[in-house]
Amino acid sequence: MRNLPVSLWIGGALVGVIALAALVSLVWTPQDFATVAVSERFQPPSARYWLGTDQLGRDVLTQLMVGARNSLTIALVAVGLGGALGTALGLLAGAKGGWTEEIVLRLADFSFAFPALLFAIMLAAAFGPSFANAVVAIAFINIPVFVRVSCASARQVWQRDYVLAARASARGGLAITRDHVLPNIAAIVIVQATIDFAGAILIEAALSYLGLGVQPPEPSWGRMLSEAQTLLFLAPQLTVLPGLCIVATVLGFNLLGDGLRDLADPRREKAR
Amino acid sequence: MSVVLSLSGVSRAYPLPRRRLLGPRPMLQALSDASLTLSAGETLGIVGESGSGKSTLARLVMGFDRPDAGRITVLGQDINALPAPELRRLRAGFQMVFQDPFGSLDPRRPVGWSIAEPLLADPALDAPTRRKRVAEALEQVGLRPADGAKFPHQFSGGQRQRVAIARGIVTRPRLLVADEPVSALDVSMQGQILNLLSDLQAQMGLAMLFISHDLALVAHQCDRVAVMHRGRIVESGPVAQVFSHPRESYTRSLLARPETKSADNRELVNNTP
Repeated sequence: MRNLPVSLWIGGALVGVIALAALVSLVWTPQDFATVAVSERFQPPSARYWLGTDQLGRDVLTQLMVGARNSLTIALVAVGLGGALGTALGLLAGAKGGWTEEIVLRLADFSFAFPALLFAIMLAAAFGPSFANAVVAIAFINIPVFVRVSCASARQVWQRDYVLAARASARGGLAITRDHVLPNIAAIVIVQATIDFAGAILIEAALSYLGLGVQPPEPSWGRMLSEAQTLLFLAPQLTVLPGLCIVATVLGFNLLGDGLRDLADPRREKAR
Repeated sequence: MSVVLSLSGVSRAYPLPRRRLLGPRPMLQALSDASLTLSAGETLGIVGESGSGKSTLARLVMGFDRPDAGRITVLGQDINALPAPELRRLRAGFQMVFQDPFGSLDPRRPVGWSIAEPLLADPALDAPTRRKRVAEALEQVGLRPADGAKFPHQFSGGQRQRVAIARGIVTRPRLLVADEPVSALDVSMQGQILNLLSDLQAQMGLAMLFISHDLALVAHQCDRVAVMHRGRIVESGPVAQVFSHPRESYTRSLLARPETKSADNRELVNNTP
């Protein structure tokens, strides 16, 4: 508890609130998220509609909660998939070295050259807009980041004397990767995943804003923004609230990542 | 006496970065035409300045790297001609103690796990047997069996080197390669670790390849010595003979330099993280 970086506290709190809202939405929401009641539109906050209603009479708090669930699910699955695949490739490249490493890293460079968001839009456009395609697109653009990070860290571990000792102990490349390399790079990969989570949330919001992500009637922060933008002066809260949610989540994950990095590397602690 | 290690005509060159974009890659001849033999129970010292090829020699003997030319025979087998499964079996017979006890133990593993690691290659040893062997090895190096549950950061530098030595002897090897085993330790620890190595050697009949830049240590610890300079073994023989009647001018100049005797140990101790 003592000596935890401040950023970890703030980031953890922000992420905690959003994650809690998403979890609660699984079992309970103030209203049904898909119910449209035009007669109830533009209601101010009240006991029934805590944050008011939107232009179609849907409860804003419900939309935000289910939107949090959709955003976090997409980010979790996408970063999980991309991270697992990217880390596996990075570990392979770090273990093999030579041509394998060269090819894997150049492929990662190649996919880095595509702007991440444009690439996701291209994939979503080519395979049709859907929840699953948004996940695949975001997972795909996460792969090279994890390849780079895990390969660079793995190479450092492979040069340590304890890996030489493992080689002298007749351990094979797979055993050394599993028993020494992975545990020693796990902290770095987890920090990277936390920071990439923030990026994934942003890209999901952007895709949904463009109508290429979460499809109606499932709510999404990005689509809430795009649907409400013409009403910016009439009902500013309809854009401000989802916008704030996106900002809070992205900031929360970035702070959490920074805090975890400070925690994982004691030498950085003084710089916080 | 049976020969445990022999090198004949071993050479290794490493490519350096190109000086010009399309120029040829300059090569560093880290080791050229090195030959030596080491018998059971004997300690052979390898001395030389940093960059003289001592550590390359250790890497090649341990099979971390392959020579460009020459033959390395460990326990009667040419380690670079041996099929991989047989080399894996042979590895229990030759182990290594590294210079830096901070880097040679995985910080994420309890030391008991690290000590047991060389035993994992032998499918005949089950987990209880491995635990028993680890406990024995810990006692042999003057630690308690319960220390196996601790992590490396819970030990002092000297204790860690004891752990590293325990890992080196747990397979009951016949050859131990010790690459500057005490140069990262403070002077009071050095004596203890050297005595431990001597005791273990006497108990187990170990052959030891003792690599050091410190002539005084080598004179104290070794039976024979090989002096290395720029990748070549320039002189070798019994310690008393080489150090009191050096034939080569390089050996004489090395002996005459006060800093190679013991002074630069201090620097290494201070650099320890």
